[in-house]
Order: sequence, then structure tokens, then C-alpha cells
Amino acid sequence: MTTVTLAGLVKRFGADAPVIDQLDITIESGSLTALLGPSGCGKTTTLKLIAGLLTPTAGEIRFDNQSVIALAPEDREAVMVFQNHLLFPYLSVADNVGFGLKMRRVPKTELRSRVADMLELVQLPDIGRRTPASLSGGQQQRVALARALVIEPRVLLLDEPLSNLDAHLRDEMRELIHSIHSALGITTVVVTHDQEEAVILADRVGLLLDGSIRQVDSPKAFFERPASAAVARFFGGSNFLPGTWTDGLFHTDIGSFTVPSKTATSGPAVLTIRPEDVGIEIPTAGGDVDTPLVNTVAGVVRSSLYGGRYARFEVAVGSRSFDAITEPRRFDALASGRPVTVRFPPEKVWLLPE
Amino acid sequence: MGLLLIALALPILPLAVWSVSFRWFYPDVVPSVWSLEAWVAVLSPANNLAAATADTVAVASLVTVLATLIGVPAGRALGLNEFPGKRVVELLILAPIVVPGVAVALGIHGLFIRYGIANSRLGVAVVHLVPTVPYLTLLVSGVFANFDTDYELQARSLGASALATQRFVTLPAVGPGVAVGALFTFLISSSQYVLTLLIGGGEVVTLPLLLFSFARSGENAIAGALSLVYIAPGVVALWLSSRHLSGNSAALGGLQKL
Amino acid sequence: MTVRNKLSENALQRLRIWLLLTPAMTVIVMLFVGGLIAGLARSLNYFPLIGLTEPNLDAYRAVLGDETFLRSLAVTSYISFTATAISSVLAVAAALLLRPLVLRQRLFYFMFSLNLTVPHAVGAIGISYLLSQGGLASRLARSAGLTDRPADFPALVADPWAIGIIVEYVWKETPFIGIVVLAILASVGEDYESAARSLGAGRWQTFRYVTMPLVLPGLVPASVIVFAFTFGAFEVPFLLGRTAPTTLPVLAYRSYTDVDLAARPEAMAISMVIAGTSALIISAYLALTRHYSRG
Repeated sequence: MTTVTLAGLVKRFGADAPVIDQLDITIESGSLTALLGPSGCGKTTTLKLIAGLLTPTAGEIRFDNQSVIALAPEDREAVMVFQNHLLFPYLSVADNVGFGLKMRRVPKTELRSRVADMLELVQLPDIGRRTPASLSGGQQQRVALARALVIEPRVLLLDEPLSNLDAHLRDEMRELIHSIHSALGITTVVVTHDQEEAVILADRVGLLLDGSIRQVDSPKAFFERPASAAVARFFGGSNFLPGTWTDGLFHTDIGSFTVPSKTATSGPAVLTIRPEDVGIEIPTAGGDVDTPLVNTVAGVVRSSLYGGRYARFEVAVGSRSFDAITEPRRFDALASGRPVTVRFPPEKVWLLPE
Repeated sequence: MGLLLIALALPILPLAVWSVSFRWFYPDVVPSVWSLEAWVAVLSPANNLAAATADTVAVASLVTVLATLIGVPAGRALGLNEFPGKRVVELLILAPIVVPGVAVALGIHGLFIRYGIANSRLGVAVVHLVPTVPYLTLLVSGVFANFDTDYELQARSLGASALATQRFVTLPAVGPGVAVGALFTFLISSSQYVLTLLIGGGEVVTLPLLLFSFARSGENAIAGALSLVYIAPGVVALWLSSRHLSGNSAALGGLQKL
Repeated sequence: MTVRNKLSENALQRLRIWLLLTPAMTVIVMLFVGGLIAGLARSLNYFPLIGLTEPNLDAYRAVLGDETFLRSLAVTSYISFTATAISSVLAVAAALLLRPLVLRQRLFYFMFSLNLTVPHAVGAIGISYLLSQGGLASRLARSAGLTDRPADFPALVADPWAIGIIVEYVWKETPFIGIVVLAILASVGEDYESAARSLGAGRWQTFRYVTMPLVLPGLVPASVIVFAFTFGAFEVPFLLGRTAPTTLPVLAYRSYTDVDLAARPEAMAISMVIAGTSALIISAYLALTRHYSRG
């Protein structure tokens, strides 16, 4: 079991702006951590730095509080599985899996049995003599995983392990990664650009934007307690309302709202609420004064989109506009131009620093 | 389609007929006396071509070894990297491919006389580096450009040392392409005429020189047989390497100059 | 275990690249550039070893004022232009013809590329056995009753129009250009042409406005290579050409090997003209492509 610590990590190629800029994260021993970020944010670079395939411009990489910066990749025991498998095409499946053991001069008989065990573990027994080209994409991915695991690394680094797979294969692969992770308990770092992939795969997620970590948390926290507008936006948040928090109320140019007091400090802030948490009601004939729910404002549906499993609306409130997502069957009732009451349930809103 | 293939084969046909003829005077459309004499002369081990074959193979082997040792590192550097000055390097490498051999051979001859390697096998081999090194460099740079260096990183990550990575990953991946390059380097060297003629100064007589003298002195039967023998290795090489050559214009560019 | 110096990582990488390039650069600079410079010096009558330390343009003056040279230049240009033009046209036609077959059958591709491996010298000998007045074609013409004597058959080898030389070049270079064009056609597929047809373009319009623009980026460099090669090639005109006027490379070789050593600077001057012409063609081509890729 190994704890991986990246401290003040900087990576710059030539004279260009740094790809990784002051990256700090501690990856807990035995955890399955996802590094999530848009393409080009430096995720793969970070994996290569951990694996020793790149040398950082500045900063520290520690395994269990021991610097590994000086260790060559082959001595680092952090093995990387590349996105496109990279099975050596001129070697059989078994020779691919046994590659790392051969490099370590493991005796042939032991090598063979360990390779067989590992192919068993990834649920691909009896394919050792085939060529990589004869395997499906999902099988290739599993062989690549077996090839990395067979050398019993301290740290397993997976680059976009699900992105090359079809939907049903993704589920299979996710389960396999989970079961292997719980069986072996290797500290695992997964890199992905897909927030769904990160959420279903990992027990911890680190969001990487513009070369540095913006938030490290449980997957759920990114939806409920994002650390900044940028984080919220990355997770599909689109409603942001600036205002000032005083006396237990959040005052904005379209009204004042109750917010959970523990979340905010006095002063200017930004209120955010996920589109699926925004309530929209059709006002009753007598007007909306009858049942004055908390945190409601009057608005007008500006546009709507039928999405099959959901319906999406853009609602104008004063000079602001909000996105709301409802059940699909409400689509017909909420046509464009319809006056509505918009509700921000107090337990669902979240204040961000300005 | 059929016409096209016939047109392509047409100049080879009289060579083949001549090679098995003994007496074939105008206006006979086919030889009046057939014979395998020319083939016996060309293929028997103790023939008068032995010396020329030895010269050709010695020179071409030396050229292949030298050009491979020189061209493969350069091809790797060009195929895998972007660096300031790359355009100048590429231009320098293209120049000998484009500028005709005759144009530089005269000047080189003067230099070689001064260095004392004119009229020798060594001199001929060295001058053959002019067309082969750029060709091999370009071909190998294409091979490396198609090689995903992540394979090397993957091997390092799996515990291979830098040396073991070259041995177990890079070499098997680029080996076939480099082998094709070496094969065609051998062919290019062994079919050089004017460079060999000038630098060899009559002391180094390779097969193309002999072929020319047979053809010009009207020894048609033996010239025909020798021509066919000459074509064979190229055809075999093309067949072996057709997988690696398709669409590789650098490789084809080399063939075009044979 | 290796400890790397972070500061000089880029510099090290740069150094590594140049180390890998050094042997090849040495060969090219010492032999190719060295040969050119030696030739240039000699052509300028600069040869300190035998006391010639005052460069002059005498050799160039002599060569450029010599009718043999001028006629040779004309013949060489004529052969290269004609051979390149015919090869390019035939290559495009052959590539279009072969495209449907080649996509299905690699064997056709192999057969088409077969004579790429045949050395020019062998091709030239084959052509002379085929087309000379005593050759196979002439004999067939007689047995068909078209001619009586060898002299009745048109002179196609060592003839004033250099037909034998051009035929050999076309025979050898058409597959070379054709394969480059075929490779492009195979990689872009037929979708663009189908789209043009469904937009109302006729067969000719599709060829003119879709197929040609697609293949030009490969066709032009291949044709330039062929032009430069035929301009400087020695073997084929040596075997199939007339003694006078001959092509520049043969002329240069003859002057160089002349018993009169005074002809050497002139030989060097001719070889400089050949090198200069091919350099000119290539730089014009490079300038054009850069212009078009920018515009």
C-alpha cells in the first residue's frame, strides 16, 4: 500500500507556458482516485510524471513520503496503462503479459504461471497464444491491465481506461477495475475527461483545470458542494446568481433567498443551483400569492427542449435566466412564453466564493 | 488493363528471348537456333562474371552496412523530433536525391584522387553513400514517424531499462522497415553505373559495367541473361516488402532511381 | 537508476538529436557538398595544387559559347519535358483505370509496381532490342509485310527525336508516378467524387474539379522528381542516344574523360549547369508549394 503525494509539481515543455502548474494532491494509500479534467489540461502529463516517464520542471513526487524523482521509470514500481493499450503487436498475448517479468528476469516457469494467473484474473484464460490484433478492443484493454498488474506495482496508473469502449463494455470494464481494485488494494490513479466515468469509477476525484487541482473530494461532493463556479460548470452547473449574504439572507437583483447558513460567510458571493434542482410550477388562476413558498420568483419560459429522458427549459426571471430540467412528461405543459413560478429549494442551493 | 500490363512487360520480352538464343538473325521473329549457353555462362559458379559479382557484392555489402549505421540514427532523429534547423537538415538530405549523380561525381573524383581512394572498391563504396544515405535516412524517418514512441514509454513503465527497451520494443517495431531500407540500399548500390565507372576508374568492374559492355559490343544473349538475373533480386525484394512500401513515397523515390 | 539534471533536459535532448544526425550530415557535407564545391572550384579554373589560384569564368565562357553545349542543353530539356509530360498524363490515366482493381486485389498493385525494380540500364537494353531497326518490332513489321529491310523501319533508337530514350523513361516512370497517384486515390476514397456527381457534376467535370485537385499534391512532386532525374540521368542516353547532340550528363562525362585534360574545367562547368538546373527546378517547386499552402 502506497500513498502518492504530488507537491508543487510544475511541468513545462520548452519555453511554452507550463502544462502543469503548482499541482498538489495526496492520493491515499489503497484508494481509487480519478484525475478528471478537460482534454489538454495535463492529466496524461501528470500520469507520466508519476510513472517517471517525464521529469518535472519543479516540485516533488513522493511514494510513502520518499521522493521518487531520482528513480528511473523501470525502478519506480508505478506502472502506466496507456489509453490505446499499446500491446506489442509482434508478441503473443502471453508474451505481452509476461513482458515486465521478463525484464525483471523472473524464471520462465514462474513467469508462465504468473501470466496464466493474471489472465485468469482479467477473465481471459486460454488466449495466451493469440496475437493482440485478433482480440476485441475490450479484450485488448484487459490484457493491457493484466500486463501492468502482473508485476505487482505499488501504484497503478490508468489513462482513460473506459473511453475507447462501447457502452456495454464500459460497464464490464468498470466492474473489472472495481473487483481487481478491491481484491488487490493497489493504489490506483485513473485519468479521464468524462465526469461520468470519474464518478462511477472512483472513490475520490481530483478535478484538474488549467494545470492545477481545483478540488479533491468524493464524487457526490462535486455535485452538491462545488468549490468554485468553474468546478460547478465542469459538472454541468449552469445557474449562477451573484449577490450579497447578510442577516441569513442572500440578496440579489431578482429577490432575496434563504440559503443553508453553514455554507457561507458574510459578504458578496455567487448562488448556484443545479438545473435538475430548480423547481418550476404553473401559477394557479388566483395568482401565486396563495401559497407563498420560500425562495420563489416569477418567470417566463423562454425556450424548451425535449430530451427523451428529461425536458430542459430556459426560464427568464427579470434580467436573469436559469436552466431547469424536469421530467419529460411535463414538456407539453411548459410551452415557450408560459408564465411560471421558479423555486430554488433552500436545501439545494449552494454559495460559491465570488 | 491487359494492354497496360503488356506494355509494362514488353521491353523485358526481347531480353528473355535473347537469353535463350544462339543464332537469331534479322528478319527471324524467333531465334533459328536456341541455346541455354548464356544462362550456363551467367549462372555457373566458375564463370567469367565471378570477379564482377565479387566486386559488386563486396561494394554493395559495405555500402549497406555503412549506410545503415549512418542513416538509421539520422532517420530516427528526423522521424521522431521537431527541432530548430530541421528544415535545413531535410533540405540537405533531399539535395543529393534531387541533384544528379554525374553533377557531383566529377568533383568527388578530384577529391578522391587527392585522398588516394579513387580507383578502389573503398572509393566506390564511399561514393555510393551519396545516393544511399539520404534515401535510407528518409525511408527510416518515415518508419519512425509511424512508430508510436508511447510503446517505448510503456516498456519503461513495465520495468524495461533504456537498453532493453531498444532491444525488445524499438528494434522489433522498426526492424522490418529498416530491413527493407537496407535491402533497397543494396540494390541501389549494385545498380550504380556512372558513379562506379567514374570513381572505379576501370579498376572496379561491377555487374552493371559488365552488362553495359556486353550490350554495347552486341553480345545480346549474355546481356539478355544478365539483365534477367539483374531484375530478379529487385522483384523478390519488392514482393517481400510490398507490405511496408505501399504509400511510402520515400521508398518508391529510391526505386525510381535504380 | 539515473539522476537527471532538470535544467539541461532540453539542451540534452537537442544534443542527442544532433549526435544522431552527425554521421549522415558528415557524409552529405563531405561528399555531396564537398564534391559540388570541388567541381565549382575546378570549373572556375581554381586549382591551387597545380598553381591555379586566380578563379575565372573561362570555362563557362567556352561552354556557353559552344554550339555543342547549347544543342545538348536543348536536347536534354526536350527529352525531360516530353518524357515527364507523357509519363504524368499516362500515370493519371493508368491510376484511374487501375483504381477499382487495385482496391480489391493487391496483386495488381504489385504487378503495376514491378518495373520500378527494373534498373534503367536493363530497361534501356530491353528497349534497344525491341525498337532498334534490327529489333523485334522491326522484324514483326517485316513478317507483317510492312517493311523490307531494317532501314525501312523508322529509326527509334539513336534517332534525332530521342524516341527510344523517351519511351524508356515513360516506360519506367509512368508506374512510379502512377503509384503515387494511386496511393492518394486509395486513401481519399471515392466519396468526394460521389458527392460531386450527386451535386450534378458530369464525369469530366468530376475529374477536372474533384479528382485532379485531390491528386495534384502528389502528382506534382512526383513529376518534379522525374524531371530532375531525367535531366541528370546518364545511363539511358548513353545506351539509346545519338553521339551528337547528346544529353548534358553524357557530354560532361565525355569532356571529363577526354584525353585533353584542358577540357576538365569545361566538364565541371557543364556538371555545375546540371546541378544548378535541378536545384532551380526544386527551389521553384518548393517556392510554389509554399506560396499555395499559404494562399
